[in-house]
Formats: sequence, C-alpha cells, structure tokens
Amino acid sequence: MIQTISRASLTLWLDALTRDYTVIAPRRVENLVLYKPISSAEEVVYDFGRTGLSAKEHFLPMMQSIVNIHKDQNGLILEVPRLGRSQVIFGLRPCDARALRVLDAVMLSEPADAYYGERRKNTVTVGIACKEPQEGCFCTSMGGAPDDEKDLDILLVEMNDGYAVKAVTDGGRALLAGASLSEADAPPPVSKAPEALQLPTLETWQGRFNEAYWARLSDRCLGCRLCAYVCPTCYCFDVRDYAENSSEIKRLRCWDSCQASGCYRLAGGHNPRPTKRERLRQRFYHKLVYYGQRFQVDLCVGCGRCVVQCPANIDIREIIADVAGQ
Amino acid sequence: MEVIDEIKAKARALLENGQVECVIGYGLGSLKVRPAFAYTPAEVERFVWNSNCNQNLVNYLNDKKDRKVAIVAKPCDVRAINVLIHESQVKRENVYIIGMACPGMEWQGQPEARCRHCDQRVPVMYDVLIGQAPNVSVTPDDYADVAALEAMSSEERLAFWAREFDRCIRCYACRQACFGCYCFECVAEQLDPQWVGIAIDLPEKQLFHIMRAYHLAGRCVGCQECERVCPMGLPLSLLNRKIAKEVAELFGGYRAGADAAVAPPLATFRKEDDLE
Ligand code: SF4
Ligand code: SF4
Ligand code: SF4
Ligand code: SF4
Repeated sequence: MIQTISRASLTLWLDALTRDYTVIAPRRVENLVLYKPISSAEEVVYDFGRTGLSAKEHFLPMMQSIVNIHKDQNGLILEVPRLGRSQVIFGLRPCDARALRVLDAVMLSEPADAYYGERRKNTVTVGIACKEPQEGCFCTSMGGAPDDEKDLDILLVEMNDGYAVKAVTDGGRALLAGASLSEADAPPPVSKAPEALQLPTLETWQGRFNEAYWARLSDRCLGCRLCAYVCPTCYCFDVRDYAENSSEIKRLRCWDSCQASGCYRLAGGHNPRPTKRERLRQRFYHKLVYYGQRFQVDLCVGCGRCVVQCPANIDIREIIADVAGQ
Repeated sequence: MEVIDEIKAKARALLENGQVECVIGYGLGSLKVRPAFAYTPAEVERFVWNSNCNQNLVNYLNDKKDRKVAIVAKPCDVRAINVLIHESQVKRENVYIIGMACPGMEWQGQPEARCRHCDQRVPVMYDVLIGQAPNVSVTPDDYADVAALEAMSSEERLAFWAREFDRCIRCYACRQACFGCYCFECVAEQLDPQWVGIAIDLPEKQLFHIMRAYHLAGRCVGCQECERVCPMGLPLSLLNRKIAKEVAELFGGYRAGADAAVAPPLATFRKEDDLE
C-alpha cells in the first residue's frame, strides 16, 4: 500500500503551507523556470525538467548581509540578520537535494557556517522524482538517482492523477499532517535513469595533473562565472563591508567563482592560479578529487546545468571520460 | 569542393607550412557547435561549418596576442577584428583571416534576426574568401525594437530595464564572451578603488550594464554573442542596438568595423569637432 495525493489536494496543501512558511517552488520568471518564493500554488510549474538555477540561493544567497552595524550615541550595535520564516522547498530534484548534503560537509563541519546552518535547519524539502533524464543529466554517475529519496524530507512521484507520497523524515511526516492523502495498491512508474559514466581512479587523476590537456581545454573557456553560479554545489563567496551612511554599515557576503581572474589574487598582486588553465583545472580537481578526499563525497551531483549552459560547451562528462580514457 | 573541405584544406596548409601556430574554427561539441583550436593538421579534421556557427570567435584573438593565428570569420566577425586592429589589440599581420561568405546563421532552430537584416554577406577584409555569397533578399533593419523602446515614457523605460536587469546574476558571461571587453581589469570588478560593489543587487547590475553598453558605443559590431550566452535571457542586444543607432545617427551612418579605412568616431578627436 502506498500513499498518494491528488492534484487538487496538493494544491490545497501547498496553499495552506504558504500561511506558515516561505514556500519556494519552480515558477516562471520571464522565459525561465526558477526556484522562487510563491504566494499561491497556482504559480507552481510542474513540467519544468530542470530549473535554470539550482535552489542553492535559498541556502547560500547570492547576496546576504552577515552583520549589520549601527552606530549611535550609545556606541556600536552589531546585529546578525536572521531568517524570518522557515522555508519549504517544493519540487526539488533529487540531485539538488543531494547537493545540500554535499554542501553540508564543508559548510557544517567546524567551524560551521551559522547562516547556512540556520537555513538548513529551518527548511523542509519536498522533492519530485524526475520521470526521465534531461539533456546533460548524469546523476547516477555521481551516486544519485532520478528517484533518490535519501536527501529529501518528502518524495513525490508522479502517477496518473496525482503523486505517490513518501515521507522520508520526521520533518516530512510533520509537514504532511495537514495534507489529505489517499492510498493506492499499484506503485508509481519507475524513473528512467541516465547511463552511468566510468569515473577515473584517484591515481589516474593525479597522473594527469600536468598534462597539456588542461591548457587545451581552457583555450575555449571564457573565464566567466556561469558554471559556478548555476551549480548547486559551488560555494565560493566574497565578503566586503559597505557603509550606507555614517551610522549604518553592512558586511555583505556574495557569490564568487573560482573562474574569475581575480579570485586567487593575493595582497601584493601574486596570483597562484594566473591563467584560465590553472583555474579550470582547479574547478574539476576540486569537484572530483580534492573534495572527495576530504569529505568522502564528490562536489558534483550530475545535475547537468553547467553541461548545457556553458557557452563554450565545456562538458564535465566529457572531461570525466577523457581523464578516465586510455 | 564543399565549403568545409575548403576550410580544412586551407587550415591544414597554414599549419603545415608553419604560417600560423593555431587555427581557430568551429568544431563539433558534445551538445552543440563549439570553438575548436587546431594546432596540428590532424586537429583540423574536427572542424565543421553549418548554420550553427553563430559564435563570434574573435574574442579568442585577445588570448593570442602577438601569436600568428588563423581564424574562421564571418562578415560580422571580421568587423570585430577590424575594431581590434584599430584599437591596437591585434596586429593585422598576425592574423590570417579565413573569411566566410555567410549564408546566415540560426539560433534555437530559427534564422537569427540579425542575419535576416544583414546586407554584408562577404567580409570587408580577408586573406582567403571561402564560399559564395548567397542570393537572399534582405529586409532592411527598421529598428522596430528600438523604436518601441523609444516610444516608452522615461518612467516606463526605467521600469522595463529595472525588471530586465534584476534577473542578471553577474556571471559576466556577456562580458567574457565579447571581443570588445578585453580590459585587463573590468571597472565592475576593480577593488581599489572599488567603483562597483560586489553586491548582486539591482543598483550594481544596472551600473555594470550601463557602463558596459557605453564602453561598447561605436565598438559593438552587433554579433549578439553577449545575448546568446546570457543564462538569464537579458535582452542585451536591445541596449546595444539603441546605442548603435545613436552612433549611426550622430556620426554619418558609422557602423563599427564595417570599413577598414574609417577610424572609429569615438576614438578620434579633431579640433573642429562639435563638442556639444
Ligand atoms: S567552463 Fe564555461 S561556464 Fe565555466 S567559466 Fe569556462 S566558459 Fe564560463
Ligand atoms: S558541476 Fe555541473 S553537473 Fe556537477 S553539480 Fe555543478 S552544475 Fe551540476
Ligand atoms: S553584440 Fe554583445 S558581444 Fe557582440 S560586440 Fe556587441 S556587446 Fe560585444
Ligand atoms: S550573461 Fe546575463 S546574467 Fe550573466 S552578467 Fe551578463 S547579463 Fe548578467
């Protein structure tokens, strides 16, 4: 016996959730579909395939003040902005959910990032399984699957007239308390999974570090930040203080990218990764070698966003195959 | 001989006789046509030529300064080479131009609007010309999109652009893809002094885009590379076309790079110029 929810009940449940939570769901923004807060279930887009950006911005905002400083006659007051309401992320894909666990490894290991941690603790994720892979998807190569429930609080799988519902965690079960569920005997259809790639061994990666391959690959790289900004696991940021006036100062943290030419520039002007070659190589070694060495999980979930969006068609799947090859 | 075979034969010959160290052309990628850099005659085999060769490859000449390179260039791309030569970024003698007579390109399965209006199907400058100029009827550009923008009140226009710019994520793909954005350090990223903050917020985005558009005034060749690479679908060409139209109106129909002999108006100063 499995639990199900009809489309009508799903709409009612989502509308009810918007009263207590910031509900973030795939919705249309001009010609794109993005994870953005919704005010009504009507705004949710269901046939979105893959969103242009991941849901990362709701854990690591593009821009966030980490300290507000007010100055008045009593001296300095430091205020740490807090998350207003708990959030529900609806329609998350299993790969994007896995990306959160991957990020937890670096963000929540001591010294933990309190801002990220607060958002993680106060978010419930409701995933929707992918029926079939999109162009560029390779989740199964990175340890995931199109119907993987393990990093979600609730998993929905589309059926004829609604969704099969699986509460994975206690948080998920609690969130479902107000939903009107039914039961069905037949299991939902099985997702089509992308074929898994053969990953190179650590020794192969290490042996290829100095090969001309990286310079040749970087020939066509533009050195933009697109791949990092669309990626659910890239977490580089920059921090700077801005005075709005003589009594209000904000310490801003904003997205940054390892592909930016100035990203590694040190005081005094030295840049240990001076060209696109070193920076692009770092992107892939960080994702597929170093992070795993430190945290036992790779910093890529195979969502395919960089694959389809890189203007120069730098395709991480091809790099995996090239490095593994011969 | 097929057009692609002519390109390959030329590229192979240039590499074999050592005239250039690299040929920049179009190759077949994993999902689309992508830039291909051939350093050996064998690598030329990956080259392709079809209606998906939209990308303006001239941007890559900025990475190959003072090297001898050949480049496969459409008429619009050659206009960009011209601009770089005028700005002393590229030496004419270092670049071998494999000029393509252009049938027009497609984007997302449709003929590109800029190509429908393009009346320059043969490059203004080349070392070898490959292909035949197609016999197509060209509808002159009526700038209807710019006219619609101009018809708005200034409040409407401000709201329109604020809405568009707000989607920008400051990934800088537009800037990095543009042949004309070769500044060593972009004003938008300069740290000392910091003219534009790091915030990914509307005022900073607006400042970046307005600055970029002005910096490309009289230099943008209308290749629309910036718009094609933008992941957030910003109508960057609309901004560039508005400025190109103004430049043409102010400077006797000037079009960036369209005539190798004409110096760019915004890079020229004459005592008798009317400074108003
Ligand atoms: S790999 Fe692609 S998206 Fe990433 S910096 Fe290079 S050109 Fe930009
Ligand atoms: S590296 Fe690319 S495929 Fe991997 S998680 Fe990031 S965007 Fe997705
Ligand atoms: S259309 Fe865009 S990329 Fe092309 S020259 Fe103009 S600003 Fe640069
Ligand atoms: S490519 Fe698009 S999103 Fe990226 S900086 Fe340019 S306008 Fe903004």
